[in-house]
Order: sequence, then structure tokens, then C-alpha cells
Amino acid sequence: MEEKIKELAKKHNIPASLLKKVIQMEKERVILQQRRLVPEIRKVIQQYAALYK
Amino acid sequence: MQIKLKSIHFQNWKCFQDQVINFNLDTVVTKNIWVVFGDNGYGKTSLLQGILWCLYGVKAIFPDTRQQPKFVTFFNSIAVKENPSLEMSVILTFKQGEELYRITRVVKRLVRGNNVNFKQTTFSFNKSGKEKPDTKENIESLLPESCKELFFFDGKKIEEYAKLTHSKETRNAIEQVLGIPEIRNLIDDTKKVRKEIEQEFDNISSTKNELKKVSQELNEIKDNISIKEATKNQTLQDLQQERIILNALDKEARQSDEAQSKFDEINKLEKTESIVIKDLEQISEKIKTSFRKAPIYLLSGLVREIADEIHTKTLINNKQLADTSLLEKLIINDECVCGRCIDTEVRQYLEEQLEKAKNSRHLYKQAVDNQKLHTELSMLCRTPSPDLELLLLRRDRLEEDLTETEQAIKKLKQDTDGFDRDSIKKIWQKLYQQENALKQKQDQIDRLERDIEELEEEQSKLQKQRKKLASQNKEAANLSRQSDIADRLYQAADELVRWQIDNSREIIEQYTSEIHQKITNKPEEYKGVRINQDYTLGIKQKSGDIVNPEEINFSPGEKETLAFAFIAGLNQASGKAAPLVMDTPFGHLDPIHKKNIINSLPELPSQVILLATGEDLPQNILDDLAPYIVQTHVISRKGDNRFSSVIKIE
Repeated sequence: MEEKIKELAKKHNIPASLLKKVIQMEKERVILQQRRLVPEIRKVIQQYAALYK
Repeated sequence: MQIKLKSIHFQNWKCFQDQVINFNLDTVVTKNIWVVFGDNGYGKTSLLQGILWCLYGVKAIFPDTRQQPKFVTFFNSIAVKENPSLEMSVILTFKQGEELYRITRVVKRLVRGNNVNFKQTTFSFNKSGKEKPDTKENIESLLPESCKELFFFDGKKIEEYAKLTHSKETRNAIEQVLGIPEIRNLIDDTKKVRKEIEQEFDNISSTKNELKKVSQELNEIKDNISIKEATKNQTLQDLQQERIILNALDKEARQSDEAQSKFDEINKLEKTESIVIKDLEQISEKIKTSFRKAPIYLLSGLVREIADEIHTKTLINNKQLADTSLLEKLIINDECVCGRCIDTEVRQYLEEQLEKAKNSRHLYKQAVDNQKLHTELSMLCRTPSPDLELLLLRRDRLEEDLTETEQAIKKLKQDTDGFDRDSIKKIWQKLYQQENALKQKQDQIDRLERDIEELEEEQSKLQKQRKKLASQNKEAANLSRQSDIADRLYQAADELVRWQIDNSREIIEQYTSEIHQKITNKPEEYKGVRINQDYTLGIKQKSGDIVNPEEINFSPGEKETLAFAFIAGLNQASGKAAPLVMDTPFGHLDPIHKKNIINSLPELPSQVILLATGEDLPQNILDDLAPYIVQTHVISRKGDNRFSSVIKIE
């Protein structure tokens, strides 16, 4: 899984840490009926967008 | 990482008044089995129910809500007599790595007049000494309820996993163990984020015409790509189904092909059969005739004698007839052959003799008859004697040939049962149609892929264009970057989920096949197990065919073995290795499967807790398991009371 994440991150030109981070966030909330993760993911994307100008 | 059950504490739970069961986890890694022995009715099932109740509540024991009031009978009867409003609890402690998880569930017995009810008073989740909120969610993340039958089961329940089709719940449970829902959720959430960003982009670009135009075009293309992607995925799924149908039809067609050649063989054999029947009739007729003529051959000596006698008589008669003719000539000529005249006395004598001879004219007829009879008898004597022995031998051979042919025809007819020439024709027609349908789907997918590729190229151009336009405005530039990242994240997640499903299936298939090969009683027939797209199971035969367990009439034992291999393979593939608690493990299985399954338990990466009777685990199996058993607990009773079970380490 770890290797595949790195491979896909490279292929789609995104930081592997971003992909790992959002997967982790989803893992933690997968059991919740209301995940409310859209704003959180948006925040992470904003951070990365600011970092990779 | 392995999750292990460390202890169970029952208070007033069914037959256990106050019972702690500690599972010693400080053990060598090669040991993974804990055995809890107990006779029937001593509390093995109560123990399993206690675990399920503590984790998932009353519905895990009584899925039907109308049955749930019966739960009041779970309070220990002896304790209830002393305190009718007592509490009942189960506390479970799990260990995962260095973390300890303690789950507590307590209910209070409520008595109002004649009504007895219960109320939950505590339900908590403690992680390494700290109480955590969201008890249910925490349990779900540790041991998801939908997967409970994959961890805590009796032998019979797991047969479900060898079914032809799975319910949505079963598929979800399997995917949950494999960690697929979180990536599916990521796709959904990223899609929503993308939409949100685009919305904001629309808002800020409304005053900038060119940016707005590019943005709108881009959104249209994105929507178009999404629609085409969805259509492609649906078509891919359809294609899978069509392939399954095609494979089934192909197999049927191959069988029908065999049936066709068998039909030809039947035709040939039927022709041979009719020839043999004709030959047999002829030979039987010859034998019959031979038997009819048998007296002739038996009496041939006598017949020959009679013929000779008749011949002699005929000769005498002929001589007499010649004499008469000579006398008549003498009388007419008046002169003897010697030249002397015939005098009166001689004439008189001759006339007397002639008269006598004429009176014997009947001799002539007799001579003719005799001659005829002699000829017939002579012919009879000349008739060659038949070789009856040879005829009988030939008849026996023909009868054997006929029996063999009939048997061959019968077998071929059995083999071709269910087929007729029309149905074979229909199967081939269907196969042809199915191949066409498959080709159409494949063409559709190819077209969609080309379209998507073109749209993506267009999308890329527009994105660059938008980026350029957006760079003139800080906020727009920032949103453009966010949109770009969200797009890429979405694509990566989409690819990841597909990889994850395929990869997990391959890994489960490998583990399941290895385990199945060890526990099946027919390792020489099967090569492994196939995990289908929907997680149903197929059997790979040595011939290379993949068949459905239902198609080859798997016995219940074989189904259970297959399902166990799947659950164990799933557990191994998930990397989670949850504890497996098995109640009366495979008690109803045949001895070979039972021994094979139990012998495979030490190889599982999970903690295995067997709740068994002495019959479930006889001494020979226990001896095999002994090197892998960490502890043996024994359930006994205090006195004769069925509500006072105690568990002790042996």
C-alpha cells in the first residue's frame, strides 16, 4: 500500500504525504455516519496549495 | 497488527456469577491457541454471547427486536433471587501492540410489579487507561460489527461464505476488513471538495468574462469526464458480467460439442447394433433349422440302408417289367429269338406267363415310387451335417457384441442427458450472440476511453489557460492551484481504490488457496480458490476449469472448509488479524475435514480461542495441537446448579 501510494503520488504529481494524510483522516472517520471531512480535506488542500506555489 | 483478547470479566452473566478469564498473552509467538473445554450446557455459548453482547449489544444476540425482551433471562438466576434489581456486566480487554482496550457494558435489572425489564447503565471504551468518547465508533474501528461473523462464529454460520451470491452486507463486511471503504469515502469527499472549489471560482470569476468562460468550459468538460468515467465503470462491470456469462456459455458449448460427437458415436453404434441384431437373427434361424434337421443326421445310417433296400427292390421290379415286355414281343413275332417256331404248347405257356406279368403291372408304379423315394433318401444322406458347435459359438459372440454395444449406447445417452440437437444449436447461437455482446461492450469501453483521453487533453489545455488567467488575481490563482491539487488527488484516489480491490483479491486468493489446499480432503482434484469480483468463491480444478461450489455439488463439509479457508485468508490478507473465537468448532464435520481444519489453526496469524467439548477435540487431535496451545481452561459446575458455572485453568 505504502509503495502504491508513492507510485500514484508521483504519477499524478501530488505529494505522497498529502495522499497519506487524507487516507489516514478517512481511516479515522470511516466508522462515523457523519464524517464531515470535506472541510478538513479542503483545509489540507489549501495548505498544500500554499506550499507548492 | 494482531488484536488479542486479554481477559473477560462476567458478572451475573447467565451461568457465570463472578468470573474472570485471563488469556495469558506472554507467550512464545509459535503458540496461538487457547482452549476452553466445557460439556454441553456448561456455558461455552454463554461465553461467546457475552463477548458479542459487550461489543455490539442485545441485537447481536437477538437480531429480531421482538425477541429482545427475552434478554432479561440472561441475568444470573441465583443472584437475582438475592437481589432482583442487580446489575449484570461483561468487561472485555483487548491488546493490540502496546495498547490496551477495555470495553465495559453494564445493564441493570428493573422490576416494576410483575414486569421485569433492563436498562443499560454503562457502555464505555477505555484506551490504555483513558476513557474515550464515542464508544460505539471506537469498537467499530477495532472490530467492526458487520464483520463479527468473520471473528466470532460457530462452524455452521461460516458456510454462508461459500454461497453463490453474497448480500450487500457481506460484501461490505469483507471490504471493511480490507480497508476499502475509507478510500471510497476519500473519492466522494474529494469530489465534493472539487465542487466546492469550482463554486468559489465561479463566484470570483463572474466579473472577469474570459476567466468565467474558461472556467465554465472547464467545468463542463469535468462533468463530461465524470459522466463518461461513470459510464465506463458501469460498462466495465457489465463487461465482467458478460464475461462470466460467456465463460459459462463457452463451457456449455464445449460440453455440447462433446455431446455432439457422442451423438455421432451413438448413431454409429446404433447402426452396428442393427447389423448385429440381423446377424443374430440369421444365426438363430440357422441353429433352429439345424435342430429341426437333427433327427435326419441321427438316422442317416438307417436311411442309407432303407435307400439301398429300396434300390434293390427297384432293380427287381425293373427286371420283372423287362421280362413282360420280352414275352409280349415273343408272342407277337411267333418265332423265338433262337429262330425256332413257337408251338401252341409254348404259346399257351407264354400267354399264361404274360397274363401273370400283366397282372403284376402295379409293380411298375411301385418301381417309379421306389425310385423317387430312393432319390430323395439318397439326397438326404448326401446333405452335409451342420457344424452346430461353430454356430452356437458365433451366436454367443454376437450376443456379447450386442450387449457391449447396448451398454456403450446407454452410457453415451446418459452422458448426453439434457442435450438434444436443437439445444446444442441454441447454445452455439447464444454463444455467438454473447461474443457479439461482449465485443460491443469492449468497443463501447474503447470509445469511452478515447473520448476521456481527448477530454482530458482539452481539460489540461483549459487548466493551463485558466491558470494563466487566474495568475492575474491572487485569490483566483490560489483557487486554481487548489482545484488542480483536488483533481489530481481525486484521480489518485480513484486509481488507488481499484488497485486496492484487485490487489486485495489477489492476496486473499493466494492465502485462501494455500489454506484450502491444506484442509480439503481432495487436494489432488483442486488447484486453488478463485475470489470473484463480488467476493463469491470459485474452485480452481486441476483441469484448469473454475467451477462454482454449487455446480459440483459440494458437500456441506466441503463448503464449510472452503468458507473457513476464505475467512482465514481474509484475516491474513487484512493485516488486522482479529481474534478468532470458535464455538464447538466443526463438531458436525467429517473426521478428515475436521482434523485438517484444526491442524491448520496453528498457522493462522490470529489468536484462536476454541470453545469445545471433549468430543470436538478428541485426544488424537489435542496431541497434534499440544505444541501450539497456550492455555486450557475448563468450565465446571458448582454442584448440580446450571446457573453456577466456573472456569479454571487446567
